[in-house]
Amino acid sequence: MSHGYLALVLHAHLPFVRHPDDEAALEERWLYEAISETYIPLLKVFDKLVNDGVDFRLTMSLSPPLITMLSDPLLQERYLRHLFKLRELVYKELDRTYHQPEFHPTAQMYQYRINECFHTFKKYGHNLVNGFKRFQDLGKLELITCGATHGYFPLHGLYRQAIRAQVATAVDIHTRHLGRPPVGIWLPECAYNPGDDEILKEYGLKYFFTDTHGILYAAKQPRYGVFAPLHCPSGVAAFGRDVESSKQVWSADEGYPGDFNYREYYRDIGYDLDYEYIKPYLHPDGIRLNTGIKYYRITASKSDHKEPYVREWAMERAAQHAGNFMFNREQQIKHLAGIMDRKPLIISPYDAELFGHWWFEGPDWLDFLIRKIAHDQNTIKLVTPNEYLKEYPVNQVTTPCSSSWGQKGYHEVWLEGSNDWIYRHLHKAAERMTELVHTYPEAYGLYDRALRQAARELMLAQSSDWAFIMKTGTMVDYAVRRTKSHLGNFSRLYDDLKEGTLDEDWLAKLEETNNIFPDIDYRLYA
Amino acid sequence: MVLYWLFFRGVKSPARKPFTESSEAPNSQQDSLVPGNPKDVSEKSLWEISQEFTPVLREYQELPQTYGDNKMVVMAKDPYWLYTYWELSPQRWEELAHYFTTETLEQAQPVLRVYDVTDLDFNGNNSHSYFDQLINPLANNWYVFVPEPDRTYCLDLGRLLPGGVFITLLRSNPAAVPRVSISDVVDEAWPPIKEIYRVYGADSHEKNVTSPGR
Repeated sequence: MSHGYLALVLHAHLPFVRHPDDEAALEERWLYEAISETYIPLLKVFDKLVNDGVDFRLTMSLSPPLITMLSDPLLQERYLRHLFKLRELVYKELDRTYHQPEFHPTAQMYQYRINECFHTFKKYGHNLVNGFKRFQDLGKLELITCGATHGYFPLHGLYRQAIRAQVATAVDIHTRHLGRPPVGIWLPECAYNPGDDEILKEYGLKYFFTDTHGILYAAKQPRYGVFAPLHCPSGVAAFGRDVESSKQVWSADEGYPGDFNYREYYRDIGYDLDYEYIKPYLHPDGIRLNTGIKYYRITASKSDHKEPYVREWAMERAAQHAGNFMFNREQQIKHLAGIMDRKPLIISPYDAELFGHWWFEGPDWLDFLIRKIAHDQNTIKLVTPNEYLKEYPVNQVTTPCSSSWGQKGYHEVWLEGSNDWIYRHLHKAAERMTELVHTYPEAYGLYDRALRQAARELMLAQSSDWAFIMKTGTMVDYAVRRTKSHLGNFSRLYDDLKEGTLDEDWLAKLEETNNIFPDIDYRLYA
Repeated sequence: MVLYWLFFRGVKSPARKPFTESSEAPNSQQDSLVPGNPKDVSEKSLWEISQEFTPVLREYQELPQTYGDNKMVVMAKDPYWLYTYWELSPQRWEELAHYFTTETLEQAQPVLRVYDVTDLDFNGNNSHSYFDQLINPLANNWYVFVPEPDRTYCLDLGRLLPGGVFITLLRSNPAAVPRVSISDVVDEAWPPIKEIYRVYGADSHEKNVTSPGR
């Protein structure tokens, strides 16, 4: 009999990046790297757990853009080509490091991993959504949805129809790909505004997450802090993030990923090796980039001197860190169970792409953690939010506080000097979309297609990723251009629809390029 | 590097210093796997080589300066700050010229009047309180500091005439700023467990490692 629960939540999302006309598009590599380094390693972890008969529960949000890209044939084909190229490089690396015993085992590790990528990719018919669905159907994964294009709800909230379209479209695409409607949602950037839960309820979503203070600063003091959910007045449940467990994984000072034995992210052979040798694996224009092949460990925090990576040491640390994480949760649960009149629940959400891509050993840590929880203790039990709500259907009713998991906890990351200019245009486009629906409540043929594409362009412009990139200052130009191009496409469709001057060729080109949500219902904007 | 901003959200990496693609690259002589010069990287930034996007007609490449509306929108940025943007049509100014002399209008101060309209059906005259924020006459957006979190504010863009008369040009939607601390309101059916608050703290959003450096 456990004393309490732990819910691990992974939020998997990438912005919709698909450039059919440019195979070398650097930004498409985000997807390929995440597939090889995060999604496939996670699926492998789940696979091994199931094969070994280890029971587990994990909650994962798959954002609609990610689902769309993973199931897109063009991107699947390009990923395979990317992988072939990488395999070729790894073969060369095996040769090159043959007489370097400090590096050769690591090169062999990459060879093994790439073969695993081929194998897993093929196993799921080139569509990894099938992989996640498999573990959902086995009852191990609770797959939830996200905003349709990861729009930042509180900053579009004045236009309720924009939020409704984000939610309804997400639920629809999730259901189509995963065979059942999502029970919960990861609000983009964990950003909540009171009242948004009303829309979640309309679409059958039972719960969402907020950051710690979203719950702690609720309208009425929450009895259990963040260790039990609240029910919004709409009846939708809100789960709050636990600070302590987040800090152990994320924190710059205390976090596990900074351990000196872990692989160093910034020493990639794409930057390190002789230009002529590595050139065939760089961008066709010769720009250096991350290949994913890295040979060093972090070694020390403040020195550029790096020592070779030793896989065994890194694995040992991952196991220790998993043990440490579990120990801390056990202590936390024991303490809480002593003062609460129900089983405490700890919510630990992370960006999925932290695991593997950034923190190379993250999936192994997760593997160790789940096994240890299954075998080495009886205090905590893994649970999904929906399971918890079945056990505790009655919860305190009050309204959570508007918040996000961004820096300082509110909305300023997505609303500040670098990105505030986008909102007047995004809002105007949302307003115009509604106007279009009122003008064309029942459209057919070309008009129907144009209205749907207008809705797609609007949603793509709304991705919170663009505002985020503008704020962080890397690749800003890409984010600005994506925002402007989707808004520009929208404006032209709007004008053409108003004036009856639709250009079918141009529309067809847009449909082919920005092909997210083929079945979108533009009337959601009514 | 390519993914760094995206996944690690660009700010705080776990105790590591990012190498950029140019000047901070690791010392090649000492650390590189093979001799070579890792610095012969083109200095062209990554985005310069990004592709052109699907055909946007020239006239749609840049966003319009104005949509010809008379509209003012306000949003909460955090518990103490509002962000507002607005658009005022030339016609609106012409209307004003009917009522006031050019001289009066020139002397008038451009002002945001910030009303506390918490729990009110605001009609322009019934606010709990208000204050004026002077602004730049050419601005079309502004960040406004508000004194009290967990309140609802409404804004007027206007002109303050020398005699103290305030002319409203635009009125915004109401916007609520969030709470910044634990509520005083106790739910009698769910009395808070004090020990939880003692151990797990009150100022969570300040102590919180939010997500990856966001």
